[in-house]
Amino acid sequence: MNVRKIAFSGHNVVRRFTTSPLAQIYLHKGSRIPGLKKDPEEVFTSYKGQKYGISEENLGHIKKFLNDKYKISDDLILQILTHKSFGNGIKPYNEKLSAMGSKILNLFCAKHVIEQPTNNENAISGKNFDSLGSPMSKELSGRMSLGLFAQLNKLNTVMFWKSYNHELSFEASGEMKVSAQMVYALIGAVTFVHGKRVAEEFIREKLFNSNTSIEDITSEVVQKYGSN
Amino acid sequence: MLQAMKEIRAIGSVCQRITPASFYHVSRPDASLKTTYDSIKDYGSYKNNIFTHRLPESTAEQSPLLVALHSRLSLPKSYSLSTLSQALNLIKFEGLANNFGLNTLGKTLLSYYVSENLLIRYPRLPMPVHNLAIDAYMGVNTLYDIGKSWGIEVDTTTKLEKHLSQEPEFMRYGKLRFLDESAKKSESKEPGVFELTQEELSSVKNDNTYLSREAEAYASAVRSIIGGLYTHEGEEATKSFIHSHILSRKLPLDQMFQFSKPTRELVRLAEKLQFSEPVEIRLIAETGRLSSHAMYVAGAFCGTDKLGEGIGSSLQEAKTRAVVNALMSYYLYSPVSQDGSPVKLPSDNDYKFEGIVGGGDVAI
Repeated sequence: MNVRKIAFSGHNVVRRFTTSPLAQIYLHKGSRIPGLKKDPEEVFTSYKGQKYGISEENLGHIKKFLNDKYKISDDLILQILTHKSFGNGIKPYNEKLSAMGSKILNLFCAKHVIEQPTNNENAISGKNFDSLGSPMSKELSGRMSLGLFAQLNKLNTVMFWKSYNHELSFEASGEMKVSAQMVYALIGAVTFVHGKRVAEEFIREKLFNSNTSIEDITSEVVQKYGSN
Repeated sequence: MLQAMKEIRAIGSVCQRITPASFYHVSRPDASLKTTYDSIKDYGSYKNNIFTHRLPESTAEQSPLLVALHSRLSLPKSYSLSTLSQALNLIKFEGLANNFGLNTLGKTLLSYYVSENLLIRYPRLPMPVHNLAIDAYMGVNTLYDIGKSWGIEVDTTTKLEKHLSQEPEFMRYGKLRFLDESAKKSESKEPGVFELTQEELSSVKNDNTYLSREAEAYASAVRSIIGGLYTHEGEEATKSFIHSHILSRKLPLDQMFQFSKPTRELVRLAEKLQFSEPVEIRLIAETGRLSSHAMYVAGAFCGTDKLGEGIGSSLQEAKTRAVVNALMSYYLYSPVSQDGSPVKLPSDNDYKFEGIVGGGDVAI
């Protein structure tokens, strides 16, 4: 079959990707100027100066938190730490991981709160549904609790993301939301790699039975900001 | 102990650094339920102090509608009729326990199993399509249809009408109860004419669509029935129920895509996937430009690898079809296990991760 190139009007795909050793490309640093390609060195560096990539400095703290029992690959850890705001979403980011993580955490928390021993006469098969819908049960898997959990456990010391203003507070800059999404992604990655049963063990061990328990954090948050 | 004290102090200090509910709104309790508890973390002690009780099983057994629904859905014997009746009750203050908790539990179960299925079976779906697919599986309108197909009826008659027609009180326990007496009276009987409540009027969107209270009530009942199944039979039975009633529905994922700038998207995708060769569109064949109905076959290539192919009556059409074909082949990829069957889900026994994790969409 005879294959030949055709030119379409306005189609510059070929030119854009042709790499010739003679081509001189200017890589721009500093503020964005339309039409100029930004220097990847600068684009793929977090606002704290951490360079994107697999390295012990970037991934060490997550590996330590996961330990051997919940081990996952380095590529996946890097994806957990990358938010879609980083580098215009060109690197693999954690959106799908956090979608999985948030769903399994919601399910775990719902089961956890209804399955405590109860004397409530409206309980069904010993499960107390009056606890569902309370601020405590809603916030257990909420963004504020998870964001604070990440901060207390120093899980968010390295994250690849971009805020519209990094100078603002933990909450206002979006760091809380991105940190929470990172924890969801961490749970999601454990689910992807090890399955649901192990992921539930992970949640129980690392989020509920740790020194900085998510329950302690949530009760603090609810009592402080959730009362009428 | 000392460590724990330090951590608790740290929590306090972290909370202090947050501006209270300036951006994030912490959930507040529903005061009308008058919920009390011994300790905030003692979930077993939570109690809503409004006068409610569960329907006695002996009463529920006398409702033919409940027995029929139980049997139609092939629910296990352990699934009590009183729970089924509770799943159909949305009224908060009428003495009988409502389905709020069952609905919440059912929703989380559905969300997990539907998401798990899509994330593993279609890992590369763009997020807007993924969300649309979730909505197509477990959105209000879908669950409304499912609820109707299950034969759930709405309790639309007033107390007076029930009295006049000598309807046994057990009948209403098997019906979907969400209308209060005043709403029942004002209901329009004209076919095709709907009188919207204030609540429904406020939910009318720009495209003139709205979610009727009836649709939401049906959806809530379906979710509650799923929540009830978990309560009586556990998670494995619930998963199987969700797979047979919700995930068994055919979803035309390929019709959910809409590309505004497909060529740009493919180029951007190639950049994200770090293809070594440039993306090129090449003409593979044509019937001849001067033929009466010229047809062109174009292909999207990366080096010698063909990513997609399209036929069109103009060069532009063939090119666009080739690019869209390449994008669809990428986005609709579904991994298979070594023996050729679909990959296992994380909730399956002997789960082994064989698929891929989606790396996210590209910005164009």
